[in-house]
Amino acid sequence: MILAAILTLALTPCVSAQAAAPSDEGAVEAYRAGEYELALERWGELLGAAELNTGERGRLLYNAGNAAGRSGSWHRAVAYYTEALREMPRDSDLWTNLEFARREAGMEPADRGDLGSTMRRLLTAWTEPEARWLALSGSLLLLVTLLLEALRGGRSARSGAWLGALCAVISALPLLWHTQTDDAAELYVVSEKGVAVRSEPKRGSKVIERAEAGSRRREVDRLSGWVGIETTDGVKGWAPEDALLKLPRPPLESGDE
Amino acid sequence: MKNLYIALVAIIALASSPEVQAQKGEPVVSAQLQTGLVKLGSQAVAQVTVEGTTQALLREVAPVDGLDFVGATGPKRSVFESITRGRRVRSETLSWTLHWRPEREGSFEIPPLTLEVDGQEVQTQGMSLRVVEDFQGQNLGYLEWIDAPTKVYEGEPFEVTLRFGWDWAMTRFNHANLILPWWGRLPGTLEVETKPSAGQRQLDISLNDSGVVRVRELGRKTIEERDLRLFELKRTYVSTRTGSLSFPASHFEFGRVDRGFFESRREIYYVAWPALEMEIVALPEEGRPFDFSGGVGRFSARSSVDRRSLDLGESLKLSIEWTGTGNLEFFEAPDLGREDAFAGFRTYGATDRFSGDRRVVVYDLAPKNADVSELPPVRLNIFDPSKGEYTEVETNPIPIRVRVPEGLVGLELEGAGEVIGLDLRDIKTASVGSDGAGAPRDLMLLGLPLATIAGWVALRRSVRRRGDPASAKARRRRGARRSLKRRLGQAGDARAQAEALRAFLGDRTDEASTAWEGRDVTLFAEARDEVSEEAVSALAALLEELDEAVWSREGVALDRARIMDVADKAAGGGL
Repeated sequence: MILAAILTLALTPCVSAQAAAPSDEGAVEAYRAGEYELALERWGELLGAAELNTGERGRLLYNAGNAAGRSGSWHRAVAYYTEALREMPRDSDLWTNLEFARREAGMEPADRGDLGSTMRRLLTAWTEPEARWLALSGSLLLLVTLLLEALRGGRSARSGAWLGALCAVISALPLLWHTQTDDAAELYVVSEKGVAVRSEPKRGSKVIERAEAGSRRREVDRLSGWVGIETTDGVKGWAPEDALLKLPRPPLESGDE
Repeated sequence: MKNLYIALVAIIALASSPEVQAQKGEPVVSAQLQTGLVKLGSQAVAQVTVEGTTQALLREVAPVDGLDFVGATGPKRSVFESITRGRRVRSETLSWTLHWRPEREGSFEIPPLTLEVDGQEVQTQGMSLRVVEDFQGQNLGYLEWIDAPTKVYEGEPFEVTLRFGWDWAMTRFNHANLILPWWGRLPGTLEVETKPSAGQRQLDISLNDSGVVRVRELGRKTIEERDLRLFELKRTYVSTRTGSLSFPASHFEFGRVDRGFFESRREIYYVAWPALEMEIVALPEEGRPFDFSGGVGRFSARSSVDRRSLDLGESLKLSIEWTGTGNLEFFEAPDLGREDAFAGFRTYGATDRFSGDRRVVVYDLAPKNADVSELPPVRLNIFDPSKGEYTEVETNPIPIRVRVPEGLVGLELEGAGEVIGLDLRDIKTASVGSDGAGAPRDLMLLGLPLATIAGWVALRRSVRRRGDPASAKARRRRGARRSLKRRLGQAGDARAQAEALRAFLGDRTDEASTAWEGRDVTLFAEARDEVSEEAVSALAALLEELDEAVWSREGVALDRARIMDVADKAAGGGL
């Protein structure tokens, strides 16, 4: 009897924890039922809780973006979609929804179709693992061309080696972009009218900058209801927590294992 | 193509016309003589007007030889009203009156006058003036305005007819010139196309000494017991603002002109008609409907449709044709997308076409549901000047049938009347498998290029120590095996095979192939320590065997594979 009681007590938290655990099915059901806020909450929990592979994280962010959009929070939707682009950068549905959400939010298109946008899209068209494989392929190409140059010499082998070096540099650019922009402390400004960045974490303090809706800032500090962010001048300022959205981002893979 | 050209010319002409400029809000400057022909001793008077501004200054008037400038009076300020796109617009006009006294007979060109309007310098058109000693010919010639209206409504097209000619007995007359100072410069009007009369002879006569105008010859007519040869000039205008409109005094110059080699003989007569005045009346405010189209005249409307039976989702073309006497070109056609009667239709757009005597607008419509059974009447609110009141012109309703295509049921049918547009793409419910597992780590990504560069430097140095791998000697040595294989493939007997092998050996040792004719391989190998014994013995045996085969009668070729094998051994053995 005592043993049974102990067992019951011991198992109770586990059972309740399992019941409360967020599930994708639950989020999908809520979404289909038109309960977009609930669906968003569940997908948000999944994003924060689970160890996710790249594609799955992208899918959840995409779905969360849809839920945010359907609930009328288009700036929030833009933040989710933009974040999802890191995980599935060539997904046509995602691009369609991102551009749709940006238009609804009154923002300029993400891809303006000019040369700069096209180059940027080429650079960001790779997930982080893909960028790693691409960089490795470039290195292997360099290895082959240098081997040829060392053994055979001559003008064509030298040209080949230079070409290999150029390819290696170009193929490393997407990974370089990932390492430069994958900042786990990044926040999205999701308030419709942007947010006033203040010198101190209180309402009456001086506004030192205005962060536009849809822009991204780096988190440097946190207090109750306030987030310390970096201004464009690199100075620390404070913005209300509810105007910003932080999306949990897994750290970049590295050689430290 | 011709119609397109005419339309293009009309658009350009309309866009550049002073009235259109005035409607755009740009000041319009014009100058007009009250008469183009004066008698010596009387004064020539010109009116200069600037519309659409309150600030203008008449600069100095350039002197004209033979014309004594008496002076200018003004500016006189007037206010006009006009209706533009359903809105009443007030505009101010400044005018000056200029006087000249002719000093002699002749033709004079008064140069463009310069004005400063809103701080900018603008110029009027030039003016032509004829001065004669006396008018002769009132009893020989004839000139009269026929049925000219004295009152027209703003926006109402009106026609003016000038009839002129000379005594029928004067068959020797060969010269005709209309002196019309108002031609092309009637402020507050737009000239529209005049319908040509059929079955009458048309001919060109001189206009204002410098141009020509096409007139209709009426032939022999009797007017007030005078037998005359008559001509007729018709023009149609639309008034764009209220107030008085004046056609200055017109003259008809006629007679005989003989141009001889040494001298010309002129017998010229004139006949004059005083200025024609008319009043442009504003449209009444009373009874004006909210959706007044701006149409003024007597219109009739007719509708037609390209199909009367269609599937739900398909579109049809509804053509409305307005004809009649009125400003067909200028009224605003109904927007069916805003008409309550057309709430059951989706409007995709309309094409608008004007062709002289008719205006046709084709609407592209699609029924929103299958309950639609007719195309409602299209109504146009216009002002009828003959009745002096606003009236409505409408087309007849057209019955149509809308079918629901088979298979269009449930949600599709329910949504058939809804607006089609862009939306978010649906959520993704299928889980995505891992795609990033096993991606290369940082250590590998950084280490591989560094190791590659280090290895390259070391390998390069090592290889270069034995000579340049890109030199001709090295390339010949590297290509020796490939060359041997090719030659053996072509060799048909032992002699050719022996030559191929010697060429191979020459390539490997950087010598001529002849150096290997009769050479003792063992002695050669002893001199070079690096060649293996096994390779030397195999090569010596092969060379001996080839010699035997060459000098035997048959000269039979040896096994090609064996030669290649020995060559590989020799190359691998250090040769």
